[in-house]
Amino acid sequence: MTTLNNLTDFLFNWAVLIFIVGMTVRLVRILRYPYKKDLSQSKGDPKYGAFYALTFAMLPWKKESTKKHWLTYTAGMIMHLGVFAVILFALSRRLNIGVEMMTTIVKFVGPVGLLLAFSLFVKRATLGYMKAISNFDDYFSNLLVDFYLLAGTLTAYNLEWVGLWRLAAILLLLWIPFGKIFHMLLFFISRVLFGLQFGRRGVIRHGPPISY
Amino acid sequence: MSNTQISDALNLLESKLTLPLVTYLETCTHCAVCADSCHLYHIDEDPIHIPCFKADKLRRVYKRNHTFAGKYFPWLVGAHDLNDAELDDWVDSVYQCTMCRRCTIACPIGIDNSLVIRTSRSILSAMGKAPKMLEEHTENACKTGSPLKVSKEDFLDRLEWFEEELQDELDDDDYEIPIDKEGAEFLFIPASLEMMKFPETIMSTLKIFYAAGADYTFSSVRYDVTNYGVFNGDDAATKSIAMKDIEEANRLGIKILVVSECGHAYRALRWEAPNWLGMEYAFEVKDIVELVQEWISDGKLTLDSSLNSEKVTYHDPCNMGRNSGLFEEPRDALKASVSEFEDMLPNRENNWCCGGGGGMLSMPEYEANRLASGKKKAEQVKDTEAKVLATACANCQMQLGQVMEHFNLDVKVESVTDVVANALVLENEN
Repeated sequence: MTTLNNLTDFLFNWAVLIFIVGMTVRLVRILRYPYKKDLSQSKGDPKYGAFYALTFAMLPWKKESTKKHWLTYTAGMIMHLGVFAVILFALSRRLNIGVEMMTTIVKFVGPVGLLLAFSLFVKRATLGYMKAISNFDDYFSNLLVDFYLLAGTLTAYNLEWVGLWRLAAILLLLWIPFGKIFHMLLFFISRVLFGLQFGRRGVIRHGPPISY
Repeated sequence: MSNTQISDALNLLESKLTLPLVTYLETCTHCAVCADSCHLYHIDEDPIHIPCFKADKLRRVYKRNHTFAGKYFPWLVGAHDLNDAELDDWVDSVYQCTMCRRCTIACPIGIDNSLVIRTSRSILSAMGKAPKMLEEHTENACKTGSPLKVSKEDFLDRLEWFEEELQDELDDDDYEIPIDKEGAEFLFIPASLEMMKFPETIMSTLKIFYAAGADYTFSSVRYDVTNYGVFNGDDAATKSIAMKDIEEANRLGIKILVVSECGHAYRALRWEAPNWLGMEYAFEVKDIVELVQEWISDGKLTLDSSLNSEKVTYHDPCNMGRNSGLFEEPRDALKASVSEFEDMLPNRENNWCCGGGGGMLSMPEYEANRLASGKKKAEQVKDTEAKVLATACANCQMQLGQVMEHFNLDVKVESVTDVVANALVLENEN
């Protein structure tokens, strides 16, 4: 464990550097593409569209897809909560703020998040339609997140696992700028772009709730 | 495909990359909740109809050429080279998609698969791989002004016939249909599908114009508003067709270009053409249903809803609803014109596509799937127990008529203007 601790301690800073450079380069490259002014006459309110797309539209009962797939949606949400909890746990340790609280939270949220994240992996690996749309990135990204959740949770229970947790963080940091977990940034841009257009056209609108 | 052709296709892709398109190509997580939102996927749950699967055709080529991982480690991120076999593999998925955007509403990330599919179609079309009949219709539209080859003479004959019929019906010997009237408030351009298959819809529109006292004109130059370039992905044709309508509107000096009940034509002229052509219009673009609703609400039309005594429901054409935000206008017009109205569930932006959009009606090779994909719509209509299914798009009207027959439903399919015109009380009838 000591060797792993020392090795990961050394590599972690490099991983953070590669992560920052990789994320910046990929994001800047994407943002360089033009966003042209829409010349059509507006019918609705694009700003409201963007606001709605980032807020109310994300409520599970606002979308047919999330209503129908509430199990997948819930699993995904809890998995993400688990990841955020483990990241906050790492930050709390680094900044030495609220460590005890975050340790307790991760002890509860971590195992549930891990279980649900892995269940999404099993779903992808076993259901025909999921296999048809999946590539290496889909499986690998999920497993990296599972590993990170597992190692973070183990560390919350016993600090001896901190080297393994750091290894998981390094792998994740190195992969995120290249794989699909990059959606952690693009998610927001995508929702805003969707909201702007659908708001402008009056599809997302103030007024009566959507019915389905 | 030669290397030059591949290079051309990649250059075309490069030229189309904008922030929205790149974002949608980069962001999909393959969660697959979009699968259930697609009416085609519900036929037999074939993965080729999963929206993200369809979009992945272009996505993997994009990744191969525009991302670090795709360029150097393509297998890690599912990136593929573009070649003949790859493009052939696109055709069935890409052209069967009706680009209805139901999956966009459903997507937790908000990915506009329709934009991705439209770009894929542009590449396929440029590489000569668009379905034959779509190509023919687009070519006809560019050469003759009409995909169904309605000639100027045919069109003027039709108008003459409408004029005679309406003189009798309106009991007005002075009734005339204005053609090429400069300075009119409205330029009304119908769709060839209406001219050929639903002439009664144009008659209904003319009756409504008459009742509202509208200052309108037809054009003898632009008498078909359909834009098949939108369907097959031929960018040059798309722009050229739209430009001719715009030039005609400018020539006649009208204030509002009124598009008949034709969803894709409205979307193309109202939302897309200004951006394709990089210009703002000197006039407004409205759908006829918007105008009808305005006239009803302004009290310009007198309606007797008891004349439509059967229960009516409404199908939101995807290009009018999800793509243009016209949800309440047709409903308000119908509610003022019928005794009983019931909405289908789901409706508005969550409405099921009828299955006839995206050019599907012009691709006989996909007819079986087109009809089968109307299953969701047929179930929705059946649940309302309506006897009349109104819609605001000739394309949907055609498809829905066939879907009702395919699923043995005794439901009449009518346009919104047909229903409104049937409830009209004209002054000389009082």
